[in-house]
Amino acid sequence: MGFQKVEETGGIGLGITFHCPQCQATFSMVTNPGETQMVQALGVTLGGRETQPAAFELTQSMLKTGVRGEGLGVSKNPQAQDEKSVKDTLKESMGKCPFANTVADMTAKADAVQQKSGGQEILWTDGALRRLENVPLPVRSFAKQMIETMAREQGKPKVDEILMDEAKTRFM
Amino acid sequence: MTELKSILENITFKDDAKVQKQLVDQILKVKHRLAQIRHKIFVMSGKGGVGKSTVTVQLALALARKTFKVGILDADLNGPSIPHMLGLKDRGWGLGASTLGSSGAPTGTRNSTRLSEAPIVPELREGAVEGAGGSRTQIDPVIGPLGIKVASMAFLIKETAPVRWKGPMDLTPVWLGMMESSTLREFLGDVAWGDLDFLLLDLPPGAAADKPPALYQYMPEMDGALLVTTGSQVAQSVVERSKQYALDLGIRVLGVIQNLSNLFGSAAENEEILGRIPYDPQLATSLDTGTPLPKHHPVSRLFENIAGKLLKLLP
Repeated sequence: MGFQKVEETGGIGLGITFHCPQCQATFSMVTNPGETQMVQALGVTLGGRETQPAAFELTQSMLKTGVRGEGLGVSKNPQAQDEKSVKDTLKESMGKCPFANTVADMTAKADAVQQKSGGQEILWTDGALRRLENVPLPVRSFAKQMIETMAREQGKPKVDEILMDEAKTRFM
Repeated sequence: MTELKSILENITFKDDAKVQKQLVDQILKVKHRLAQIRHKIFVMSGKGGVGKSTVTVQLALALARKTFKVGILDADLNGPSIPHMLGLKDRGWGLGASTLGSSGAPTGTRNSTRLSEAPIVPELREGAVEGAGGSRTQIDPVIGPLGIKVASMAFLIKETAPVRWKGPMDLTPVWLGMMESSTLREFLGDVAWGDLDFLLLDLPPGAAADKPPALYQYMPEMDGALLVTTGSQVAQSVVERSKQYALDLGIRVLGVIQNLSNLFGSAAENEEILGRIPYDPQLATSLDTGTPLPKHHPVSRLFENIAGKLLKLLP
């Protein structure tokens, strides 16, 4: 099962299509418009940015009515919306079952991560916890999870200040 | 089900979508912007209509007259009134060339914008703002009387237009809260405030609303809050809730300003009260017409006194 394409669904969500080259099965996952809007409300671009966001990019692009003048010149999403609809793609894939291998693959990956960490909880030194307190609250839990993942990848049972320094270099 | 739960529990988080990095960049941008501002003060009240914006404007004028560099963030997104009170109601970030900021005209074709071309926060460490490339990543505040810098939703929307957002969830309270929080973050981080002695944040009403914590999370180093009330028992009881709420959040209450003090009778003497402002028809007219009261007007003097007391409370 491999990634095939991403397409917009009328500007309110995305359809992500996967295709199996062996059995020719195709299926799409359609994003929930509400959840998409939740992510949009954070002012982030999935996949990252290559340039800085324009001033008031989010506010300007999300205001519905009554905007003054021409606004701040925030460009609209340039992605084309004329590709085959997700609904059609889903219709084509009905009757085929491409999920079994994907689920097995996910299970294998989960097992590998668990084995690598010995299935144990990652511990934190007091110094590392104090450093974690410096991470802004809205992203602290994300940061904690990423640092613990980093510890697991390195086979370390504990997060200390040295690892915090490494994480800072890597992620910041 | 157990197997699925096990799988979900063991899925490791990878920031492939680079969401975390962007959130961190947003916060860094705000922190660097605010690092140039010496004092950050909330003007808040649980009760609506007690005069938060009036107090904000008059206090800003009093501080500016003491030669401080002052900015006002009109954080009342849905009912912005600061621009009107300062005679800036016809100004807008999407209007004509007269609104161009000190950084000069944009190089783009839209001469109606007043976006600054300066690279965003150049002192940000590498990696946090890469890709700036001189793009229009900040906007100059509108300059009001006595050089007061102002940012307000009123500069983005037409005068009588309500703030409405696009999308299927535009009336969903949780999403609205997130959207407004992000908008306030853009007001803090995208406006080129520059070096300021004071940034006064005029908050919307609400005894336990989401705006104080939304703003406070971006500026835990802020100095504190000024609470505005009237002599009305009703207003005072609501404002007392606001005070407790602020304290619960860890926000220092700098003091209370009692507005319309001659209409409801004065509140009991209290060391927290920094000043009492009587209803004055000339003040009302000045706010309606956007013409600041002269320096020697009795109300201006009262706010000069309040500003003096405030300065003694600050480090």
